[in-house]
Amino acid sequence: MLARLPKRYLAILVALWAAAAALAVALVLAGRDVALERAQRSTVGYAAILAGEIAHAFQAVHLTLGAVADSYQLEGGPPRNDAAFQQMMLRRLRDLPFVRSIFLIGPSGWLIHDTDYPRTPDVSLADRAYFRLHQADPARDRAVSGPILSRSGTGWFLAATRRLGRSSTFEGLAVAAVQSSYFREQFGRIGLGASDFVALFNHDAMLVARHPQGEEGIGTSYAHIPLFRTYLPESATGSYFTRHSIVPGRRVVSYRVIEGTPLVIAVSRSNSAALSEWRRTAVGAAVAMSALTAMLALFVIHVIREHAREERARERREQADKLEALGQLTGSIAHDFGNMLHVVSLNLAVLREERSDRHLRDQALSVAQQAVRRSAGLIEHLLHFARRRPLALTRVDLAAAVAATKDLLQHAAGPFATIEVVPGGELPEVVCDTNQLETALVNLVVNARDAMAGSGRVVLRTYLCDDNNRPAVKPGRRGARFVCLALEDSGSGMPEGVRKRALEPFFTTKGEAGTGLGLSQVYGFMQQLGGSMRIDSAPGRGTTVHLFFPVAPAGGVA
Amino acid sequence: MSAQRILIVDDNLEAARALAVLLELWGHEVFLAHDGRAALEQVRRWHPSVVLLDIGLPGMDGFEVAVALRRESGQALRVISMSGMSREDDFARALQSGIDHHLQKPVEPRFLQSLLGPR
Repeated sequence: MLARLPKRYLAILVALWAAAAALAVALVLAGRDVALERAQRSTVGYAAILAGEIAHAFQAVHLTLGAVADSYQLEGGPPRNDAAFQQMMLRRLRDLPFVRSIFLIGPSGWLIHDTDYPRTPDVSLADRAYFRLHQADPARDRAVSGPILSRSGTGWFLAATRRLGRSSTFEGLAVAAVQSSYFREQFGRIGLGASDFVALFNHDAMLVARHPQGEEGIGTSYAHIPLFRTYLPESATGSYFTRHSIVPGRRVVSYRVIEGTPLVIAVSRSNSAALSEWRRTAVGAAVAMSALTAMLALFVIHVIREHAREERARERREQADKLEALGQLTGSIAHDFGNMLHVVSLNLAVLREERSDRHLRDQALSVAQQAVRRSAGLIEHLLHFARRRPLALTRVDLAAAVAATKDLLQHAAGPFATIEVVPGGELPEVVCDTNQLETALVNLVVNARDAMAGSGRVVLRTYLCDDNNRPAVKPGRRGARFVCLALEDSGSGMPEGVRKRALEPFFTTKGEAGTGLGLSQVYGFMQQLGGSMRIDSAPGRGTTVHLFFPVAPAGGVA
Repeated sequence: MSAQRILIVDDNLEAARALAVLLELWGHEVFLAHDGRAALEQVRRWHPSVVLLDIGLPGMDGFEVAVALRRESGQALRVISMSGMSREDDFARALQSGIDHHLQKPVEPRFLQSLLGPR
């Protein structure tokens, strides 16, 4: 049943489906890349904005420290905790909201001026790393320290430092305590996503500030993460994907060294957040694709069912046709046998009759015997139709074989019809069974005779097929050559409807006189030979039957 | 058995001739026709008392010929039909066409003989 499905049609459908699925998968995968790329661009942008702001803040701090240091110099080193000098420092501090205090340290490490004075006690800061850095290198103009936990309990800060004086001897430092919390607030203001993470490190990998999640890890070294191990040594700015950052999970990280400072800003976003929108699209696509697949499957099932239904209907029709044909055949046989038995029965009655003379009896016997012989002929005819006898195939010169049957055909045509055989010339031999050929030709000539109402002309021609007149052959046999035998009569011709059905078994136009087996038998014979048959006919223009015989292969016969 | 004037109508020449010989041997006077038109002419010319009519005739079939005969000759004429292949409704059709007896071929000669006897 499935053998007769419109397979090509289904294959195209499945191919279209596969193409749609492949396209959907490709689009979804491309969408994923696009989403990650967008996240990357976004983090690069945030890192640049934050780096700019922080650089700007430190620039302001250094300018202020420079101004304070210059004032200190100009005033010739005002006395410790001079009120006027402190007022100047406090004024400057107001312009720097991210700086908690400004203070000056003398060359021995003691605080000499402090915006926090007198709240901060008199302390020595000689042990601070930033102090020692400048003390060891008096030529150093400025520096920014690592994160420092305030001794006065005000949290983490960075010390921006500037030396006092211009000589080669160490005269002390001006220091601004830049609050770590300032950066956190800054990070929180620029509209980062919920999963975004910002970390500010100094150059030796100490965490200075983070957003969000408070102060955890500040002052700790993160020298082990890829930023410091791999990327920063390569380039001052960059972007990469990693599963090893401060926060767990796969993330895209963009970093940038902050100009004029020893600080590095890193902005990262989790892949899962970057892909959340994409994920919705992908789920949508998967749902749509599933729906399409389900619809397609339902459609295919529907087509298969429909096809099966049609197939069953067709089989029933064929069965009905077969039964009808069988009914016709049975009727026709019954009729013929009825008639012949009738003749036999009547003649037997003549024989039995006392009054009949010798002549009548002889005649009756002869007629009855003829009827019996014709019955036997009918049986033969039927058996021939019932079982296709195997062909006795030989190489045959078709023109010669046709010429040899001329007398027989003339006999079949009757006294008022002329059989004409046109000489065929040199033709290749064909594969054929001469006995069956004879039967086929007799069948055709009898048809011609009937079509010509007894008188007329039947012309038989043999010729090699050219491209203008060749049978429709199965693909794969296109190279086959054929010799054609055309049998043309001057009869009444057939209307289109009759011509189309002429080869059907049991189809007859001769009413009860025909069996409808003649042409179908010829057709069967040509099929068995691997040849073909065609009928050209139109009412009033006679009929030409073309028989196409395959040319015998070089060498032997199959 | 009284002699009858019998017209045999059959396109099968052998069957017609054999039947003619037999009927003549039985002492009847026999005429032949091979189609419906000829049958009607023969009836007009010879006025047979019985027509033995084949159903499967070329042109008009036996039923049509029977109707025409009945119209032409009235109820006096006996029409006996014969058919090589009788379908179930043929007997009903024969009755409607005014046929007195419908026989299935092969016809049993003795039965025919008894039919042709005096009415």
